[in-house]
Amino acid sequence: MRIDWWTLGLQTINLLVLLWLLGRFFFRPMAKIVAERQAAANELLDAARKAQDKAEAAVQEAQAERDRSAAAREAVLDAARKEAEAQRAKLIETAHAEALRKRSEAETAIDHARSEAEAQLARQANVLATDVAAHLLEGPGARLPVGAFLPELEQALAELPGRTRSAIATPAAPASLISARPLADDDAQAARTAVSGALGHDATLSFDTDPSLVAGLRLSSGMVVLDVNLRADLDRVLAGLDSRDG
Amino acid sequence: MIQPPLTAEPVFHLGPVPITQPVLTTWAIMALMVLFSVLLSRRLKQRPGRTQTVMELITGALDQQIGDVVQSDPAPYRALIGTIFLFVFVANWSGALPGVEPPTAHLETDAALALIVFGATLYHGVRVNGVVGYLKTFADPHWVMIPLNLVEQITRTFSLFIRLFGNVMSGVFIIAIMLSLAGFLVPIPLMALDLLTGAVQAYIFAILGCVFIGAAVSERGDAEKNSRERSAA
Repeated sequence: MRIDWWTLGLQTINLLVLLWLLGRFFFRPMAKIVAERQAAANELLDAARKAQDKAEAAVQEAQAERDRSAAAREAVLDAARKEAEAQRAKLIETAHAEALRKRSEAETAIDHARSEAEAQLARQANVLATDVAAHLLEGPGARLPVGAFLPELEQALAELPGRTRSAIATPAAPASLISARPLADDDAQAARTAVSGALGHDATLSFDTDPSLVAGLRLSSGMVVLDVNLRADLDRVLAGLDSRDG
Repeated sequence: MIQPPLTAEPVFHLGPVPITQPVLTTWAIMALMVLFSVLLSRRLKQRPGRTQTVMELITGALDQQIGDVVQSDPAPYRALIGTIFLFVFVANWSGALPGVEPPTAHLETDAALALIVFGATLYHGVRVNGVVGYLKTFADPHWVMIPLNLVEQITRTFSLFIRLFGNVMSGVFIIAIMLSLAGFLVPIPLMALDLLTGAVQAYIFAILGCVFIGAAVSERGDAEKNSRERSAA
């Protein structure tokens, strides 16, 4: 066996050339395309990872937003609840105050009504008392003489102004002398004399009766009315009682 | 006149250079491989077709093997180991074509392959470890081992191409003998076996070349490790 050195050299050169050519046209492009695909896959994976991160961030943001919304809703509900509570308390307070006011007004009205009723009752009692007194005095009063009331009538006429005295019981303004019972002639004459003396002129009198006077006289002439009788006294007593009872 | 079976006679001469049959066959194989590579590389796409997928699978498997052996990035060794594997594979299988004798059945082709592996071992050893560092690996684990390591470099290179030559050449001889003795169809099973042997031998040659290179580029680390172990002892 011998080695052909020319063939050995040529084959070595051939293989070196083949090595370069395959490296240039086969292995390098294959490695490049694989690397490019790997890079593209990595980019896709990175993009997918970013998208996933973004989606997770969006989910977290949505969760946070939902939490914030829930908190805001809770705050609004709490505020509304407090507002409603405050309004309710205010309404209760207003209603309470209104009830108190109404109650006070009612109590005032009741007091007023009671006072009026009491006053009316007192008035009625006073009237009743004076009526009772009038009935009680009817008997004794009938026995009193007219002359017992003439001095008092004369004093009342004397206390009138002079112009009034001169104007009453005149023919232009005749006076009426009213008694509880019809006067006897001498009593009427005595009364005319007394009145004329008190007035300073001849009095023009007419005589009349009014049982409600109980006892005594009433001189009426125009605007002037002079009461000298028990009814007037009872009326004054009644007025005094009314004023006392308020 | 019967020609010596292990001798490649010149087919023609280019000046003083004799062109033998293995050289012609190698040129044809080179042309086919380069043409295929050029056509394939022009049509590479991000979405690969069937052929591109097969080629990418081969390249990926090659990178995986180189990475497992060298324990580093396979890119610097991909073209060398890949070219050796593909060439030996195609050259071995070219014997299945009628009238074609595999170039690897001749000692010169296998020696050229082994010579390239030897040169690549030196180149990458020096590239990774530096000249001094690579030379220091011959004194590992002890300077006494320098002669043995030097002899190892030669003998393993010889064993590399002798193994390939013996397997392919024997297959060719057996088929030729069976063809001359038995007839036309009898050698077919042996030819199928020869294809299997050729594929296995291509793989063995490439892997052994890869192992030699891997050993060269990793011997620095081993040497330093052994030195530390000796110091500790």
